[in-house]
Amino acid sequence: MARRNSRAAVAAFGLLGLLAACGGDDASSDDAAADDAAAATGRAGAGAGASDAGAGVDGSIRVLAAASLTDAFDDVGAAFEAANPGAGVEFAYGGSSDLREQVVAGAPADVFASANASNMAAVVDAGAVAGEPESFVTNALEIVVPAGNAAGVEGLEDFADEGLLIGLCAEQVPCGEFGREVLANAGVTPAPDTEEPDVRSLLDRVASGELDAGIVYVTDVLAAGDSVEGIAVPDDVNVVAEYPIAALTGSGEPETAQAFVDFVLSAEGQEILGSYGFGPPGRE
Amino acid sequence: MSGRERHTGSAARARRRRAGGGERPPLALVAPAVVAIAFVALPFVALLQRAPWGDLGGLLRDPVVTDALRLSLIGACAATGIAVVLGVPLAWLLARTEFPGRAVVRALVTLPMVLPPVVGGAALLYAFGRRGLVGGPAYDATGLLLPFSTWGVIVANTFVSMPFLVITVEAGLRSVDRRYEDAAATLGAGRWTTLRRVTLPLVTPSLAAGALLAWARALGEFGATVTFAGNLQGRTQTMPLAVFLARESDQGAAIAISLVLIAVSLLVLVPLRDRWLGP
Amino acid sequence: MSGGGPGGPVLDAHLVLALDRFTLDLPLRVNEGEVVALLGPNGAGKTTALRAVAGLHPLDGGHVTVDGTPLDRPDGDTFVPPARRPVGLVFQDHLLFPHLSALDNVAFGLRARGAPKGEARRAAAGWLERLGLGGHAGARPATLSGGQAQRVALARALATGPRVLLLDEPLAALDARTRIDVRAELRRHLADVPGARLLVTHDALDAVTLADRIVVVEDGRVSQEGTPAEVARRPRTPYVADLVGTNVIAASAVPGGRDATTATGARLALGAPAPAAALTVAVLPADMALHPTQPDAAPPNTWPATVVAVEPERARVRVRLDGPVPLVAEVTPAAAAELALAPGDALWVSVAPERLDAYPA
Repeated sequence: MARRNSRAAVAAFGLLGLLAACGGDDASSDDAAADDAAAATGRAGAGAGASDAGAGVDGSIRVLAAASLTDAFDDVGAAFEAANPGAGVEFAYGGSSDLREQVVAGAPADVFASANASNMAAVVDAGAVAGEPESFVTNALEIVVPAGNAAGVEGLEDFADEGLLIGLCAEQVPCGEFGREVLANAGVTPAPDTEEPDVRSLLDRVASGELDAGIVYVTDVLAAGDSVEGIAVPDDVNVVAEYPIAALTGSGEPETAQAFVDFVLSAEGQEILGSYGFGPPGRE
Repeated sequence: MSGRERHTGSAARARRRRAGGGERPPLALVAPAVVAIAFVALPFVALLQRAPWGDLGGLLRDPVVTDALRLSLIGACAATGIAVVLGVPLAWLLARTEFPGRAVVRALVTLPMVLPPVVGGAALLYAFGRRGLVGGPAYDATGLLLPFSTWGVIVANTFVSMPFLVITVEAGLRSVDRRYEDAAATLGAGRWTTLRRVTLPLVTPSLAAGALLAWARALGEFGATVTFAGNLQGRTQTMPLAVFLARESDQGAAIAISLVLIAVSLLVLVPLRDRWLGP
Repeated sequence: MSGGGPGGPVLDAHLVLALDRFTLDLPLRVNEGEVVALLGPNGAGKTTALRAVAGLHPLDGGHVTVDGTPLDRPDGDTFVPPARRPVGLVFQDHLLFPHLSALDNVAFGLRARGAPKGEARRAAAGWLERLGLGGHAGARPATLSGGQAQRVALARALATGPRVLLLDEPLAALDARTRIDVRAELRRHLADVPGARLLVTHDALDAVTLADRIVVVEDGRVSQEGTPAEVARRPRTPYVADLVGTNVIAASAVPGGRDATTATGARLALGAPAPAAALTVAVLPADMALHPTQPDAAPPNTWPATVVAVEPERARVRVRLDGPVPLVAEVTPAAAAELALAPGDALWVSVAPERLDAYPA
């Protein structure tokens, strides 16, 4: 009777342990409470061949980056690995506050790249940042409309038009915070029909024609290609978001982590980021 | 003359049963059951432990919370109502008639249960969105649009919850003794009268169970709703959506809203479960 | 046996039904005020025949006619659905609607046919009173005893005033004690209502007690028909004989002679001249003598037999025998003990010629 009990207990613990391991591994797919809305994709960096240990750093690192950095950072990662054959970079993209929460909760990560300063500040306050965060790109906001601009949107004033289907990012995400700031700067009171939880889903809705207009980042308009058109926001009202990046104290490969941060700030890294529409970092 | 008896075993159990205490369940069943209870209860206990009990009052009066609760309840109740009105006839057809493609229809009806909710929401957009198969022409003709409206929430909820009702009611109909319907026929009841006064009352337990499942599923629905109807306080932002967004900025608020949702669910589920699903 | 009411029989039917193992071919007539019992072994198709009269099972041939109106005639492409037939059916396990009270169950038929709720319930209350269930009007079927439920089922079927009342094994679901009481009551109630009554049973006692006329159905055909007394006195098939508690042997003879031969070739010595060429010979089980070996005196009507089964009853032992003449014999317990009877034993059976009752087949 006793043996049967302990066997059951072992089985139970084993099951829970297995579940915990699965949870820890794939932060990208088990992101946040809700299953699907966060546009988080995880990609393992290409090989850690580790044939010659001479060129550059080696080691595998995990980078948590804001969703808007998705394609750009993939390229940066590939270039980093090309320059450092022994290294491997894995990315986990998501909403900046979700990523911030993960870092604060102690999830394994080596580098954090946020879409706004407040999330990075929270991570700094938690003592998780090694050294000082650095601003590595800027991203301005842009009006996005479906290809063809069937509704004839011309500028920020149209965002007050009840007759149009307008979308913004939710206030709780950086894109939404900045979008509202832009509209406030322009003196426009928006009449949104939806406040999307992340910038990618807003983009999708505009691209598919469900919405007449939205406010997203410049990089997003570029990334969406032919399915959308962008309408520039006047410089005097536009908000330019500074993206900070930092290596984390919890990193198992601090050298490689810092090397990645340096690479991002280097000319090669900046060139790649620039090709995606990101602006150079401010004087910070 | 009779065989040996284990006086401590079966006789003791029989004594306990006579005393009205009921038989003690075997340990092999109790242990996993306890693990199951712990597995389900622990997250809630952890949630309760982190709740901002001090701020709760203010948070609960916040229009964000009251709007979201109202929308969630409207969405769940309306979806359940539609599911019953449309789903019971469908269940009847599946259970009682033979028609070509019946297996396909049944699979189709269960599909929303299997589909990831976001995929379901996207599919709803392709069908009923402004550029959708049906939604497009409807919008061009009438200007009516489901996405970004409360009706969009109801449609998304119905889409994910109706299968539960159909499956449960179909099973119930299959298990009804057909001879009751024979008896009704010999007493002079036509098909419609028999359905109304004999068959449907006999499947009431299944119907109630199915409706409850559908309601609960609709209440917790997130992926399809946010993908299809969008998110706007007071119009499409249901409780799960409010929780998700609150987590971005205010953990305490998120937990508070979650507690409200759990409390409402328990208020409905606990009293109903026994009454309708018991013998 | 034919004609009884002014316009002919209430129920006039020729039921032809293709069943699993055979085809049922059953001509049936029930007159006004008559109670007819369809008696037969399980699987004889009796219940299906009843359902066909009710309209729950379409005929494959023949017809069902009530008061001259055809309800089911495959040839003429006529089929009246059960709801429009003046036929009531009491099911074997009552099938009272579990979600309705006894009163609402009885009122169901009236309401289904358009009567307003209050009126139907009043009539239903009257029926329940008549059947002695006045106090149980509000009870749910689950709380009623077997006998009470069966009475409610009867009231429910009668409330719509059917011209033909069908009863499917009405006592089968009851325990032995209740059966005795309900059987007596049922007889009274059936006598009180107009129309034709047709009941189906495999229990000979039910048939004998309740029916004015018995129709015995075997393998889809009528094997015997008559009043209970006639059937009991002159059984024609082994099945009926067994039910009644006697033995019958089919034999042929020269009319007027005293010798008969069975189908298997065994010789019978009759006690009286044979009345016809084709004979049914009845012999009571108690009139048979069993011998462990062939009797020396070689009496007439002696055959070898093998014991198939030994069934002890209260004051006697029934022994089933196989052989050239399959028979059931009855002996006292003492004799059975003396013979040490067990299945498979070989012995000899003899019967005096005077104890054979031969009548035309």
